[in-house]
Amino acid sequence: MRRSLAIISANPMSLTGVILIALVVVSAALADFIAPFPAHRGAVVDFANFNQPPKWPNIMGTDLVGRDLFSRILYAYRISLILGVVVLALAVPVGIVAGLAAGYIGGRTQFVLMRTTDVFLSIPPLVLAMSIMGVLEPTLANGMMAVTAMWWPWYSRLVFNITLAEKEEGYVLAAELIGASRLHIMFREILPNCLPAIITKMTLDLGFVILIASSLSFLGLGVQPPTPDLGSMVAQGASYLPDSWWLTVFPGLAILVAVFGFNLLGDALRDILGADR
Amino acid sequence: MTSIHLALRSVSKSFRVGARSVRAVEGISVEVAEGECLAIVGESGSGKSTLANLVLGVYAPDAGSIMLDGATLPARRSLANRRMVQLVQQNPLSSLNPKRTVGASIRLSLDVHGIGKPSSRASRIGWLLEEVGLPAEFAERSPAALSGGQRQRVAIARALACESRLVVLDEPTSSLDVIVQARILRLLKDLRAARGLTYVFITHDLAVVRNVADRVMVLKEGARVEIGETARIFTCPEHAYTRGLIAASPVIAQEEQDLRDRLRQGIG
Amino acid sequence: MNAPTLDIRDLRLSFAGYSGTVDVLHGISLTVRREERVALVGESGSGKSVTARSVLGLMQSLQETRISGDILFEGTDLGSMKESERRRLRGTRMSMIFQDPVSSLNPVFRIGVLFREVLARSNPGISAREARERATAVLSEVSIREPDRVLDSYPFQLSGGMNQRVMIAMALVNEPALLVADEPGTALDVTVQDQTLRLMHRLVLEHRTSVLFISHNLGIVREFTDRLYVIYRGRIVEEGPTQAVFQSPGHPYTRALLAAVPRITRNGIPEFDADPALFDAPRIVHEPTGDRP
Repeated sequence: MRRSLAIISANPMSLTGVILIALVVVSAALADFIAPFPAHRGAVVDFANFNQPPKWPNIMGTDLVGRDLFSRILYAYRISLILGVVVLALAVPVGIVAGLAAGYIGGRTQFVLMRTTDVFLSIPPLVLAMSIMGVLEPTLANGMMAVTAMWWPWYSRLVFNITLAEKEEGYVLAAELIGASRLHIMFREILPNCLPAIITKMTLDLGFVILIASSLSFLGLGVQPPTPDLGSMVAQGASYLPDSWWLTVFPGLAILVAVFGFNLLGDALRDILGADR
Repeated sequence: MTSIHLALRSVSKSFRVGARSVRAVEGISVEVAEGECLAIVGESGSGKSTLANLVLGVYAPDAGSIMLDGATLPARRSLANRRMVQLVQQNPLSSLNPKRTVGASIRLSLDVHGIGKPSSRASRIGWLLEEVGLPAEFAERSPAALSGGQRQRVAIARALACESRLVVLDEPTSSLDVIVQARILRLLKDLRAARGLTYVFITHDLAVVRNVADRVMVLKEGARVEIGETARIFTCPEHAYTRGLIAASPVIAQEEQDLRDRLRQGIG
Repeated sequence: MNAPTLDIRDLRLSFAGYSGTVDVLHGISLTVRREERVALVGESGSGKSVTARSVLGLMQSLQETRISGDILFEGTDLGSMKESERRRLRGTRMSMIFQDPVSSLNPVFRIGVLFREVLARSNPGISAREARERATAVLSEVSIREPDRVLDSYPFQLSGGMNQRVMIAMALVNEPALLVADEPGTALDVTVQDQTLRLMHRLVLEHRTSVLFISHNLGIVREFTDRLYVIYRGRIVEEGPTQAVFQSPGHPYTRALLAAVPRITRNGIPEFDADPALFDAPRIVHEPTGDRP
């Protein structure tokens, strides 16, 4: 623990990452208390006060129907984080099981699992998500499914590579000679040694999941109005540039802060956990 | 008259390397008596590791059979078969899972084979650790907190946990410093006496062999060069290859130097 | 020029890590005179490899190391040199042989190309033909019978023993004043190791090269060195002519080391159980691989 703190405080970038992510998480969690206009997360209109530049009390200005942008960004963070966590919570276990099984059992299992992984990896991620979303209804749940479908192969590849290396370690041979089951060896012996790399990657990925989800909603395929979403906010504001710059700049900065923060945090975790794979 | 514990009957094993098939072990027969320590000596490519893996059941022989206590072992070992023979590996850094505590590594043997009541296993782990000269509290530690010698002691405790009477020792001291090596060799010797264990001791280090083995089998390119009582092999080896091996060993004392010089002359 | 080839005076070295500073060497002093073969004997973590690397000037430029004391090479202090000057010294006046020959030869170049590179370090204008001739000559010195075939091979196409010979030839081709041999041959089979070390010994005698021999193997040290230093926990605990130390070791650690070495003439593992902590872990707190606790 002392060492972790030392690593983080020794590197200003890591410290920045920790602070940024703390800000994002706190503002998303406490949106109800921080947001000056909590009701503006929904379908509220205030035409007397629409499309206003930043001024008190709308410190980031108002949108085209008069809602407070700052409040909407806080709630959008909440949605983004939930989306990121849910996507990873679904994708990571699938990737882990596929990677462990392919790496440890080998043979035909490996062939089937890793070729499937390769197929998914060979399709550009946004194209894959877009085609899924094109077929399905554009709802938050379907958006999560689409992003999940493109995310698990990265984890199966990561876990597969680590498993291949760990399989050669003496402790795996020892467990086999004792007579331990395959499941024990995969999940109790090898998996703990994959975790540092997985956790590091998950932290990095939270930023990218938010980015991809924003890209999808930018294209109109993600979260639907009136739910606040950073990507759709940028998309709507884009047609009013450069006059109504606040419509795009603040949501855009919000995406930047989250993605950048998770990246820096991921790098710091990589140092702390010693995962360099 | 002691009984035969382990018997290999013309065991052969080849591996496919690309398109070719390479003989790793060729028609090896040997019997190891109950409580004996047989050293298997050879250089890289001699087949000594393959032989160890065959005894352990990592893979099955292509031809020949392996018998334990008079019964032929099947190609696919059962749980009961597994329990009869255990391994101590060369590198204790790799043989213990860095993410599991010492206690958890030892406990696996007890759990898999259902040794002792689950509630008594913690104290059993403590006894095993004490038997190999470590405090029982080490069960809570991670391997990273242990020195190389201590890790090797844990690996030995894990091998003992299965209550196997046959232990394959694969270069168990090669990655250790010399004083630690001496301590581990002493421990292995004491354990063999106390538990009546049979050892198959794989090594390239002839000086170690001289100190631990009852008999020595010298391997070269998968075939047996010679086999005999340790003292006899070292004083008058029959085969030039054995003489060369002994004569190439680094020595520190004059009497060793004399032996080496005598053997070198024999090589010509 | 009467300065010894290598003169280390009160070398202290520590690593600064996240969890604080770790002292590795606590004042090492040792001398390698001209044409002398000196061993630095110790176990893992004793600081012997760090000392060797300091001599080669590899530790001085690392950010996390703090070094004090002098390392005089032929009378000149390495610490007062620029990094570029130290680099120029390596492979020319001072060369090295490592434990693992295969990983210390760059696998993507043929041996001939590697040789030319080494030769160009001391003679940048050397022609391809001249380099090849020199390489052929020195390869035959290390008893390689088909120098042309070896020069046209990649390192992985040669056996471990052959690679080790190539390493020795490369280390000696520029006629260095000092050869630092870090556990040479340890990765090889015992018979190949024996041949290789004999070959190296013959060559350093012929070329009158001084040698700093880093080893944990007392048998090898006994056979191939004139004088030895025993290093334990970053300190020199004993030094003297090799034969004398083997006959009457002075320090308890040296005595324990000698007693612990198994002999090929008798069955005699000593009892060390009187004090289990004694010499059990002569490691300093750092791990050579760099993973911190």
